[in-house]
Amino acid sequence: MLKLWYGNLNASVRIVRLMFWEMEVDVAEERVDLQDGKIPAILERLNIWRLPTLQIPEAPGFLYLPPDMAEYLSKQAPPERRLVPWEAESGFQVRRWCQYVARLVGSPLNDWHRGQSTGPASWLESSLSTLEAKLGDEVYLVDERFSLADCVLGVCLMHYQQRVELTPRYPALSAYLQRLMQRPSFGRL
Amino acid sequence: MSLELWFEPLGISSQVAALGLLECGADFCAHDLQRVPESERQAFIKIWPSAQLPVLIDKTWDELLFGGVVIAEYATVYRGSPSQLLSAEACEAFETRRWGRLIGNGVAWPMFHFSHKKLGLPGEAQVGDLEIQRARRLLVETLPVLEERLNGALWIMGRDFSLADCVGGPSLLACEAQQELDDYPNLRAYLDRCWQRPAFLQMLRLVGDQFLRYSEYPAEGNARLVLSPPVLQRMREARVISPREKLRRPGE
Repeated sequence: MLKLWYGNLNASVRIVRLMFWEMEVDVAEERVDLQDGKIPAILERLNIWRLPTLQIPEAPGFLYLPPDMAEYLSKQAPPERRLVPWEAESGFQVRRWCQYVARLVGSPLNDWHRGQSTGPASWLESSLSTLEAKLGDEVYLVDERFSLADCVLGVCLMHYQQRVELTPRYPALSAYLQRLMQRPSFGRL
Repeated sequence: MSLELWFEPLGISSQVAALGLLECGADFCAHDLQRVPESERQAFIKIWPSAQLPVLIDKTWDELLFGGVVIAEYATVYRGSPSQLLSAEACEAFETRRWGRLIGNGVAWPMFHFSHKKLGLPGEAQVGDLEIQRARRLLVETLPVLEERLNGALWIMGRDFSLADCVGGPSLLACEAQQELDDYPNLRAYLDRCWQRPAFLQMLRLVGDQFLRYSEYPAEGNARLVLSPPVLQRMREARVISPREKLRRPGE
């Protein structure tokens, strides 16, 4: 059985939940309140743990990095529901764009949100422009099929749009986000 | 040359990228962003405003790739021979990437923060004490896991060098350079094996003189430690650094 241990409802948890819903995986969830100092014994026994952590029935038993969770779940899922393709090239492209979005959109947005900067990094707009150009008329970010990269970018764009409207500067990204929001999984967020 | 690697020599992620390319036998031109002529630097920043490194420009395929592991995986998928650093078998490939991410998160990231703090280098944000505590906790958790993993194994994935070792080698070198591996004989033996690999030495020769620029040991006043004397000596013996090259004080 799969179980997700999580703390605050942050971007990582949202992305992980999107994975479960998109791949139609049943996962039990348990919230851990670190404020009261009570860490579940099952997590305390681990060499490495953090939140969110996904407990899985086989070795290594626990996964704590969202890309690991995505690839593990994709192994179990039928081909049409895999968020990370098994094929070397398409799998690489998904991983590559996940990294790009996480580091060059997600990170500066987080810094801005946490007050570590007075505004978004000056280069955030450049990253969004790159994604705008890459997306163009395409439906999804990689190979015309929904993937983990769309989960990551979708959550980032939702975060961005809480502060700044995507249109008129990023019409392709705006239309893309509207498409994503039509997906039942995004509607549940 | 169709491949250009823009990198920060002392950055573990940059070393991972370089090692991946070298292990795959890819020919590339390496540019240290801080040392190219200003006009080239500005031209690069124009196409890559974040200036976060490493970045690989592949002129053949008009690709611009960011991140050490991404570049190493790109090298093996698009430029290397099949299954060179990643198994063709999906489950094993997943395990390789998983171990690479574990090392990146639990060793490279903490060492990056220790180095930035000690060297006073500009980073993504000021490295505070809380970040250092978190980094220390991660390192203390992860090193024993790797020590166990390498008990009786040549490489992270067993018999063959892989993408996970492209992360492991530079990450653990950073640990050894700051004397974090004293209690881990398997990790020290693993690093000895890395030193025997031609690609690993080539990678170190790309960055060697930058280690000298920042080395000052024992630390005096404002600590600016990068290399411990044993590692510095090993680099001289392997001719990564010229035996006669003197340590330069920061700023020289």
